[in-house]
Amino acid sequence: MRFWETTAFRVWLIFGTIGLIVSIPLSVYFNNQQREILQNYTKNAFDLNAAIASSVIEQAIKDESLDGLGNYMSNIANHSEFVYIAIIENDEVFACFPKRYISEALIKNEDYIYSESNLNTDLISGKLVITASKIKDELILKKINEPFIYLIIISILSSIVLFALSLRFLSRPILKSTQIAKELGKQNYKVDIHLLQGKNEISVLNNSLYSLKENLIHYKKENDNYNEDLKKQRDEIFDSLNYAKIIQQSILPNEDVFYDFFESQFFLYKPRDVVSGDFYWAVPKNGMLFFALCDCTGHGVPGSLLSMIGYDALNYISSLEEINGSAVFMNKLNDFFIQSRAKGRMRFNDTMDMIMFMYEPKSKMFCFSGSKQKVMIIRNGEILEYDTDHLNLGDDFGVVNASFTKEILTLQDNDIIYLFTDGYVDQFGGALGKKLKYPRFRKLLLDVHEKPLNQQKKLLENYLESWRTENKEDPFHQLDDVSVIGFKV
Amino acid sequence: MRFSILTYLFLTVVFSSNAQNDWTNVKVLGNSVGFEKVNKADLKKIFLGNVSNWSNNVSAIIVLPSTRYSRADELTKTVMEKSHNLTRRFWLGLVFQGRANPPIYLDNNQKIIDYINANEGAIAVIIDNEQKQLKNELIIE
Repeated sequence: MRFWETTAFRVWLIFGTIGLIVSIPLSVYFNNQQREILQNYTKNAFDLNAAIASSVIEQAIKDESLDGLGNYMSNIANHSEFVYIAIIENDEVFACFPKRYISEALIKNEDYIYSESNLNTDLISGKLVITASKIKDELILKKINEPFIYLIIISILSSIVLFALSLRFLSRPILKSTQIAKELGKQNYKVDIHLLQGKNEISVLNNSLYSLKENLIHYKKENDNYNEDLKKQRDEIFDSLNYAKIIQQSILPNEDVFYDFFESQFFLYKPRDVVSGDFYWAVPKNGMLFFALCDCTGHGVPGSLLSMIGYDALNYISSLEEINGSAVFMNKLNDFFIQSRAKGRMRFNDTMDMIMFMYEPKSKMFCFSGSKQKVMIIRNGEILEYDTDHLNLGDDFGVVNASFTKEILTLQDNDIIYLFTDGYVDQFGGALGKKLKYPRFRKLLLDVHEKPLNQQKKLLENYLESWRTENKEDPFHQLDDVSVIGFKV
Repeated sequence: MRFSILTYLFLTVVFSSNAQNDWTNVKVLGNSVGFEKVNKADLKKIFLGNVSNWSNNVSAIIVLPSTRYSRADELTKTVMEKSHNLTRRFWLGLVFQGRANPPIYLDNNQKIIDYINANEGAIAVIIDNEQKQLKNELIIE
């Protein structure tokens, strides 16, 4: 910081400026007053002298004795306060002292103070004029004001010294304290502070900073310990989650399961967190493929735990002999959820949206049911869209006399079946921060459906990423687990 | 008629000029002034304040006739070629300017004679009809 940026300098400047603003007009005013008083005094004194001189002359003429006048002139000759003394008669100089002649300019000189007295005798009639120089008054004035000028110079010098002292004893310690505070702000606790004696503001500030530093060191130590604990806990949690992820991924079917049923397939599986509430399941049975894509309530750890229950349920239902269609499968699954809720294994709200199909590749029979999910099939460049039942798994449909239904389709070669959870279409993004929604999704599928399925997976993934991050300054996070699965017949 | 007026004017001028410069009864008195003879021009200079010290280092004291002196005007016109008032004004100016010591104004011959006799360096002019020589009388050349 430069010295002119310090508060001390600004205070000095303000007071100095105010001092000048006040003192200059006052000085001018008092100087003028002094001048006026001095000139009045001189004028009065010279008026008196003029009166005396004219009396002396009148008396001398009356008495016909010039001795008195001679003495008077001898006396005033020794006093140099006047410029000249003259007898003016009919506007002409009759006699003048000490000059023998005076010019017209001298008679009307503005630098002089004129005092005059009438002179009326039988011998001469006119006026007697004594002049004083204003310059002499100015010199006197200067002498009078000399101490004040010295006082002003001393004041200015004193204020500069005061400023230097305040810089030394106020600004610098404050700047040093500021620097220390900055260093502490940067968590540099090695900064050097010493306790100061005394109770002045600087000492109090310094000692407060000292205490602050000590406290900060203490809190930092505590904080470091907490952080270490938290890190440990976090690492443990992440280890657990990663292990859970491995477990969860282990329940997902291998791709070779599908080789006997479809020409190709892709699985776009993007959990929002480490573990997912989405999962897909497949079991070949009796020459058919049982497949399900499930979206459990919630995401992350609760979703993944629920997915494990769902997985267990799917395995159990699929092992039952009486399963001869997707609707039976779904209704059995619903019974399982009702029983689980009744046993307290699941909460009332815990459920999963899902689509389940059974596919027989020989006949290309495609039987599917679902809970609040869609199936899209692209055939010959056209999109066929099928809704499933709007029933929640785990609800008691006996009350409303409802059950899951099935739909049976005969697929054709090159048909592409698309299954998906709502994570993709509900993702916020784009320039306006809106949901992606079905129309865009349909168009996207139509755009990419002719590509090989592994490329489709990449394109769908890229589209979702660019949609989410279109607003570069404030991109959206992934809001839900995303799963899109495609099978080519 | 014209002749008689011209004659009258001529006579008036002649007589009046004679009256102004009539030194017949004018006497100069001087006490210890360092000389005994003086010419009219020097006398005029002396009485116009041009001398402050005599040659014998005695201070010059100029004595002039006052307004009460009976023939003051005639005397000053003769010696200084100025009226008595002009002489007084002249001396007032001189003293005012500090160029000369103040002169002494006296009322009559006797006072003048007495003052001259009593004061060294004093000099005066008087009109005296008496033919006898006065003490301290100087010769006018």
